[in-house]
Amino acid sequence: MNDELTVIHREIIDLLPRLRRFAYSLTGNQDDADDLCQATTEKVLKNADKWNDNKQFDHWVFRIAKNLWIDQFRAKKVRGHNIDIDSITENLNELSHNEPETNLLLRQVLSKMEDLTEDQRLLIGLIAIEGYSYKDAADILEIPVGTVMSRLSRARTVLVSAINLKD
Amino acid sequence: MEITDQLLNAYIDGELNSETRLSIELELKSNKELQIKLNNLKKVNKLLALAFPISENIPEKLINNLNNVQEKSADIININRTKQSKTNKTFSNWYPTAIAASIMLVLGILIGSNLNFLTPDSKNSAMLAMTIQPNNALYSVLETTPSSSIIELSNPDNDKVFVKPILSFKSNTGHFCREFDINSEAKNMTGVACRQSDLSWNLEVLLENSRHSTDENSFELASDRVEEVINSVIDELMLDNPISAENEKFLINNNWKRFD
Repeated sequence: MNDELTVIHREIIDLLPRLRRFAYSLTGNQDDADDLCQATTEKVLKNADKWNDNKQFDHWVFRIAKNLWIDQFRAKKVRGHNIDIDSITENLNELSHNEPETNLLLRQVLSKMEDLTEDQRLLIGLIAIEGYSYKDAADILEIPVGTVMSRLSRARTVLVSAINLKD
Repeated sequence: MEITDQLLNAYIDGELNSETRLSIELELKSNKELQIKLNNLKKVNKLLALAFPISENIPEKLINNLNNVQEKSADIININRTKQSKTNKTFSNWYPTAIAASIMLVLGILIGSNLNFLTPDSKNSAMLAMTIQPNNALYSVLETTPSSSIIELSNPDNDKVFVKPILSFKSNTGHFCREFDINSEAKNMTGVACRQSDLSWNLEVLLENSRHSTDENSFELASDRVEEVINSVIDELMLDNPISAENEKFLINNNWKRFD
């Protein structure tokens, strides 16, 4: 009696905060992130019968989100990867009063995010923001762990160039 | 050992074995350039965590959309299931057992199971308990919850109890009926109730799925048997097909006044 659907419905509700954050890190603005979340959850529910419960549910959902982002959102070249830096920093300042220097560094890093390739952005989202292990990220993206390491390292090099700290 | 950027990244991500980690820490003590690189990587991680915090406030439109999609997916599955059950011939064999099971189960509830929300007054007789009145927690779920949506009932003394209407249909005597699941840690039950002209819902059948150790106050059936009995009861009661999600929504909004 739709037990699968019920289980999946509950799992998605639990996963939504993380899925939204991942989507946000990919799209760079909350509206596109919510559109991506909506498209992902629709696809997950419509394909509920295809979920193999030997696989980790979150990996399956994040993989669907990744594929949708690449297929649909990347296709909209006009949109680019517009990261809404103003709204991100404004939201942050509502939560806590950052030092002006932190705000400046943040703006620089976010602006560098736009220079990342899709593959690099995915790895920053999964590992640096979501905290997945290299093995899990490799599973979600269906690439070897060695590729995860090299792409992630290149991505972080790009972001570090934005802050260029001298101690 | 040459400490590459990849190794340094793996170090801050906690991906290295203890031996490699110690080698890096030893090198860091004396290597100023490596220290700066490491600090920069850590700084970037901190900034990213700041920029993308997790938020538990999920916009209502996302949740509503999720429920709507689930409703539509469930509709398709329900109709398929009903077609299957039309060929079921076990009704006459099982219906008396089902009723007996219902009564025993309700008695079980009255005797002090943790699903006592089913009856507002534990001194009611079993037959009275089979009518779901407006002051019963289940009543508002049957009245207002679309099929496939899950509602958590407030049940402060016990574990979490979830109710999910499965499908709605019109009975051959002109009443609207609903199949529903009740799930808690302790019990999983499936039932069918039909709305009466006095606005109460009459419990036609309520069966408990056998899951783990049996409670001597309850009457449990293997879950495939439960499905078989419930399908038989629905086949016997239902006029034609389940009500579509759209018509069900209309009925809910109009207090189950007929839509045709």
